Amino acid sequence: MSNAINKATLKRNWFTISSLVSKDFKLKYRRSALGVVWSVLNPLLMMIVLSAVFSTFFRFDIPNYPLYIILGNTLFALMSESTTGAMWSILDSSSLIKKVRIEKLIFPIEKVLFQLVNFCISLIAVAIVMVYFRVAPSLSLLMLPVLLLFVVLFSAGLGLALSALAVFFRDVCHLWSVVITAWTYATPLFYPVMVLPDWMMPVMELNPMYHYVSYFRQLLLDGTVPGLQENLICLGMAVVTFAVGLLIFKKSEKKFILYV
Amino acid sequence: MPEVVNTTPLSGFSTLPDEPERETAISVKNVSMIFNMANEQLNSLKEYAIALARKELRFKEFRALDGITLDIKKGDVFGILGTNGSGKSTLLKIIAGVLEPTKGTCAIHGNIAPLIELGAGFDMELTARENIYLNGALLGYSKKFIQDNFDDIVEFAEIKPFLDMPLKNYSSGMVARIAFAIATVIVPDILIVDEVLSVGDFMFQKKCEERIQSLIKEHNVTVLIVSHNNDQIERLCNKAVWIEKGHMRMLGTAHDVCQTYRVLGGHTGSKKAEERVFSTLTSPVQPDESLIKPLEADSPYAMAARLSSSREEPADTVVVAFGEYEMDGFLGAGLASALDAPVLLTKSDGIPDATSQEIKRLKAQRIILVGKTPYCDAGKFADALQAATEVRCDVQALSADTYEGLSFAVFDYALQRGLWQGPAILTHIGCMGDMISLSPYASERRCPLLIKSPGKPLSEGLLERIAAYGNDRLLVLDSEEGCPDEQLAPMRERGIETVRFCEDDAYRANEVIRAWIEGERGAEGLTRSFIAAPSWQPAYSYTIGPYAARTGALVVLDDPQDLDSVAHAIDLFESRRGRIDLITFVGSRTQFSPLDKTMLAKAASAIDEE
Repeated sequence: MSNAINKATLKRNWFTISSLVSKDFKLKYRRSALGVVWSVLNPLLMMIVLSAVFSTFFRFDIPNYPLYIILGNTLFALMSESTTGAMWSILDSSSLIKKVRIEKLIFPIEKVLFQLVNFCISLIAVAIVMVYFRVAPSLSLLMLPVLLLFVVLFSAGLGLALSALAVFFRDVCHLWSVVITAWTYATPLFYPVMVLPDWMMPVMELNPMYHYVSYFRQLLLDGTVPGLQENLICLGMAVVTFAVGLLIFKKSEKKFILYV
Repeated sequence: MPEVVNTTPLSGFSTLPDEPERETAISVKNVSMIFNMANEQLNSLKEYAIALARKELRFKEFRALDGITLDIKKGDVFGILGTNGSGKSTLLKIIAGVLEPTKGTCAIHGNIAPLIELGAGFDMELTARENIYLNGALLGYSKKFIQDNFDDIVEFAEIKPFLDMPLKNYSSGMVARIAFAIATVIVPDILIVDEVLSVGDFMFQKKCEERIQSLIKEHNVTVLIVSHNNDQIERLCNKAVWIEKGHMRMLGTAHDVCQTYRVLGGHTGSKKAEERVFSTLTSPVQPDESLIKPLEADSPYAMAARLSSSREEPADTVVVAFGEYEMDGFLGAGLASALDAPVLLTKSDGIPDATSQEIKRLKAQRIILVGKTPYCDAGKFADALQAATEVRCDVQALSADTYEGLSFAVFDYALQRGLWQGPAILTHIGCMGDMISLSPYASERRCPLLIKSPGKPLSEGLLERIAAYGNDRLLVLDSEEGCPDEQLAPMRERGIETVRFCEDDAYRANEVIRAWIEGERGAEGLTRSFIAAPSWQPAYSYTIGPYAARTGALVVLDDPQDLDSVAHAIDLFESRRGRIDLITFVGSRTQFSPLDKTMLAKAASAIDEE
């Protein structure tokens, strides 16, 4: 019996989430001439700028450098934008939370899934670049959903924690944009990890985004599948982050209404 | 007057039957809601850390709800009454599951459709169609359900031609219609309605009410309604609770609770006064309706005309005073009594219709206009009157720069003609309650009214006039501070007795003045006719003096808003139970509710001994 109810609740919540995703999607492109094309164009343009700048100044010895950049950037954007969106989600839906009995978990989760949809569209840009550089996809591509599951879990965990903390301390919102900028530079997005001094490597190993970005490049750039140990590290980081985020959220969600 | 809001339970009036056979829909048990109000707003980590380090993290407790227990049965239509900030919405939020109570439990049996605020979750950029789906999803409807009922929603909201227009281009009424349509398209087990019926136009409100009615009647839905509108609760609900400052005051049938709320709710007064009023309200005495005589009008001007029209014969001379200024009214009424003429009120920017019509009816030849200089203009008044009624009257203005001067002008005018008879009344500007209380005596005894200048000792002119008048008494309506005894010493030296009326509040003074007037009347015995007049809207009572004198009535100050005054009136009437012939209620149409009137009638009605 309770199973049936849970199933019904889940189905209802899923409909709510998908409605919200479609709302965000509509609002994002409403009244722009190119519309959804921007989801493809944006990473492409970004890639052109970054590769122009960095190949002039640094001259890293990386084959297919623009592809290297776009892969890192799109995956990192998935994390940064979904965590930022999730962070604001509870505050932004305060009017609803105050008035309607609704599963609050929906709001941050929805923001992460919305960014996942965006990411999938920007994969078209990645495909265009791959065609341009004649990099053929291999069977390793089949592991992409697994990677996305890791990243989404990880982002959702961060997003849940941030959304709950932001309710009580608005400082979190300001701080997070700084953290994201720092993180962008701390992750080898447009430089090869080899340029780092040796002592930095153990530190880099603790950066989940380094693992996810490397995983992504390995799948598409090298056409190989990371080993079991790497998969376990990625999974572990995702699961722990999600569990901690969920715990923080669940512990504090009852008090949201008093602070939003 | 300190504002006292009573929160103790009122019991023993309305009892609800225990209905164990009926299923419980909502069970609220001993629910308390305590908010921690931070002494300062701590909204950032830094502030929080500093406060924590200094151990200054103190919170002030605020009890929004205190020990609320309700048992709402399936099919009940339950009303929640209370003044603003009494905790009604907090209770609804707890029942709707949005808020968790600090203490106690709230169990719900069935699904809830909360109409707490219409349109929460609407996105103004989206079209109506998109919003219907989105809002439906947020309210927990399935996609199929929305699809199946989409047409019903659109039809109820009357938005078919605008379905694909962004919501931001809609009128707020249309948005409210859509929201209401979405929220009520489902047939819930429990429907929560919070003030939603107060938005939108009349047509929409009616439609909403019909929809709620149909849910109640056809689907046996349990409904919870919060409203300021007493009548609406009484019309829709079968049970009601009255909550005040988080405390349950009364639980009972909607009729009983609404009646009590109408008389006591949001009104100020001491606990004792409230108990007095409540016990009268609930006493089983049959009120003698023939005691009640309402004398209502739309404006003070119309009221003056009504009071004047109670005399049938035409009047050669009519006194007209300016109704915007209280002292003009009292001076005019005093002069009118001396002249045995009717008194009417006018406005400084034109003659009200009621006034000009009454002048025409009285076939007045001569008008004495009483008012201060800039606005009191005989020529202008005569012209305006001629324009309105085509009658040209001889208008004489009695005016001065100050109220003291104006009272002298009126005094001298009637003194020359030898019209004053009773003791002079010395008062100050703004002494309205006492003036109203004393006005029956002032009119029947033709007492001159003298007004002293504020903040100054009694002037030479005033002392001279009192001496010249030669009455052996002077009535002083002022405190010891306003008019010290030593200033009155010269009067006493001349053998003039001074009688001072000054009490802590207008109701006490009313009592004292009434007793004094009855003492003066002596052999005539106790008064059997009373005029209930509010001191809150005194403009309606400026001219009751001549009317009271004609009917022999005395004034009881009674403000339904102020329970202390009501308790005073009840005390008076009960002490004379069965010996009262008439209570005339003077005031605007909304001043006294039917209930206020029957309640006083109850206090005055003879109790059938059988």
